[in-house]
Amino acid sequence: MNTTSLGLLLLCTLLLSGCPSSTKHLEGNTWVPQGFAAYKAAKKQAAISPEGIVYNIRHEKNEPFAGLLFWKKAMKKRLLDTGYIFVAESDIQSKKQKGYLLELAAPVGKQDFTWLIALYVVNNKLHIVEASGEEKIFKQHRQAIVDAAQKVGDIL
Amino acid sequence: MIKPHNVFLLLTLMLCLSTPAFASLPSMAMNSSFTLKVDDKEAVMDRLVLKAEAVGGYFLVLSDQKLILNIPQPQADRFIQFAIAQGRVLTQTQNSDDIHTQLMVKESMLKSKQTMLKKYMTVLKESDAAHAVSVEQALGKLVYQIEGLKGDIKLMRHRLDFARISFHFRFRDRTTPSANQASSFPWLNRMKLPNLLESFQ
Repeated sequence: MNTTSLGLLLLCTLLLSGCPSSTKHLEGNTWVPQGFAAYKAAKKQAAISPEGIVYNIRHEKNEPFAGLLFWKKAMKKRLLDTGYIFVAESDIQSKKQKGYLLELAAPVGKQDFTWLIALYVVNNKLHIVEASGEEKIFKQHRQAIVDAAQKVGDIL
Repeated sequence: MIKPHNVFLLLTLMLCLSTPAFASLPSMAMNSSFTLKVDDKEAVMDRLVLKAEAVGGYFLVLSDQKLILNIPQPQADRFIQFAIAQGRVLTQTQNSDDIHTQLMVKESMLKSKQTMLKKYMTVLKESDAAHAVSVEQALGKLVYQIEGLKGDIKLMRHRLDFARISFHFRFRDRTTPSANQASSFPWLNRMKLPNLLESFQ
């Protein structure tokens, strides 16, 4: 390899490393819903749509240790008791994991917001995918969010 | 075997269909009903009535929980879009009746009865006193039928011109969810929509 080629290679490497991290994030992460951009947040996998629909994945300890059936009942009861409006629920099945999908509504200021939660229980961890935004805009992204939440089950 | 009377009716129908007055009429009578969950029922009702009047419509019923409007058919779709943006739609039903054919039949019946009326009038003029009473009785019956048909036609044309849209209202509870008691499961205490939204601010 001559010095010119080596120089070009170094230049390319430098240019590539200088690319915006969000693009790298989107391309490399299947958890980001289609049409969303990865959002930099501490210790979180977060994404946001151009209209402000938010998407977030977080992890909790499975304490007390229990299965999906237990946690889906506990979560639904807790959130409905708190005052969130029930919209829909269903199972969510990725290639590897079975999860639970809960859709709620709540007023936020003068607007109505949808809050979609997907829950996976894997050994001693709870994996919670949440997405929310104004209900009419949310509807436009709902399928992409559910698809992404489904893929999360595969990468756990 | 087709009777001459039926042939006449059919020809009248075809003639009616080809006339510009019928061509411009919508063929369906539209009825829609919505249940809307709204924050301020009175304000929404006022807005809907004002909008209805602005597009050439009017209200039929305006009560505590219910509003029925007649909206010109060409404006109906746009009006519905405006109305459903005022709240959350809980239920929605829409149906349409094809009354165009019925209207044409009534129109042709009216024409034939009006022709018959003219003939009866001629007969009445020429009849002697003995027959005049029975002709007058037949005339009275015919006039009654003609007035009935005119009323039906007017009603049917109105049903074609105006879509009837009904609204039922429910109050939308806008209380922000809040936990009065802590959950026994710590992670569920952290499950709050404001927490999620604030993490993006």
